[in-house]
Amino acid sequence: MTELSLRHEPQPDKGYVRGSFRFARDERVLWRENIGSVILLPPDGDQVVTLRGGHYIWELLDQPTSEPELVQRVAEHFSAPADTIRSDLVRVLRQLVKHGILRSVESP
Amino acid sequence: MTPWPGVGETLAWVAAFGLQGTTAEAPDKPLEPDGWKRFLDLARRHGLTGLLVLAISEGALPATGCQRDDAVAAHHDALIATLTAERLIVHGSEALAPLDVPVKVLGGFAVAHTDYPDPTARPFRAVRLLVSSTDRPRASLALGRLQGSNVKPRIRWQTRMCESQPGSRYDYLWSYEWIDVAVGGRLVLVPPPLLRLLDACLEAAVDGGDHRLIRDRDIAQVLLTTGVAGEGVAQLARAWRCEIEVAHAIDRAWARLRLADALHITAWATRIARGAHRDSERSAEQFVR
Repeated sequence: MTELSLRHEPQPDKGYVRGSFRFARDERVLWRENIGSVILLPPDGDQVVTLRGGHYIWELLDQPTSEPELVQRVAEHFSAPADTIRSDLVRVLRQLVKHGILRSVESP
Repeated sequence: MTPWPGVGETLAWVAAFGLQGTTAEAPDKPLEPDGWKRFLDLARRHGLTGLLVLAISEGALPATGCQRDDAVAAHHDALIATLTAERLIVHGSEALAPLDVPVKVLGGFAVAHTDYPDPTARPFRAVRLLVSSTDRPRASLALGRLQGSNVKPRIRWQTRMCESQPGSRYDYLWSYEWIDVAVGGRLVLVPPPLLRLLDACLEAAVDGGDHRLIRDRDIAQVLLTTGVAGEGVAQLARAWRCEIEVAHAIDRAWARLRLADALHITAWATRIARGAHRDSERSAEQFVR
């Protein structure tokens, strides 16, 4: 089981594709919302991923959304500085892509 | 001695949470630690963690911070089991697609995705797929190859139902309009409300001593939210030769959930269930004589 939290310390943002791509949920992902978390089962692999405190992000990812859009909307939603949000968000997005929960689609 | 005097009542209240007409009463303060532990174990066993978390989060059930965390953790586990079961449905659907065997899903999955406002409230563990008798051998073979599956082909109420109908046994099922539900990027079919209700009643009937309150909730949920016609239920139960089982299940659900509002179908169920009870007592008396 893997837990992803948005409250961890920011990590360096290296080698991350941004700007020209948007992120979208893989439609094969199975998921349920619980209080304080979204529980995700990727299409391949048995590892359950728990996205703690990530309801709003998961909701946004219902539609393909770019990283800058996500950062802006999450920062507005939580009334937090975009720079702080970005580093956390990038880490979470990267993990979700790695687990096959999100796919990146090219922006039109 | 009951571990906590209000456990049964509180469980009934949780099982009926959100339904109109229940007379079950919630405690006015958080349960004591011993009572809570016992209560949470039972809530888990009865499949009620979703409704429990909902009741606590809406402030309807008093709980301490630790109790809230316990309930959320218990529901988390239940949801992992649910997702694992759902993935079995997806994989089963993928395995059966090349065989041209359509996938129809019964039980917890069907009611969770159609009758409850949010499927999160209705966790489930077991997967029940319906296939025709002719498809069963190859479907069992294909499903048996799936990792993590434990396929147990069983002849259950569906067969009983089909045998009561003239003509093709399998085609009869399809005279009903089944409903598409999306799961993991695939579409599977679930029964219409009338069949979901009878399925829930007959599953409750075969539960025996291992009865779970979520079954009662399923019955009430379908009856109170889908507008399924009581006359149709009675007629179909009679046609399937399971009138007494269905009546008992509805009657028991209303009693266990402390539902006070009588519907046409619940009045029918009470009449049939109590009549059957009297008949059975009479038979026993005659046997003794």
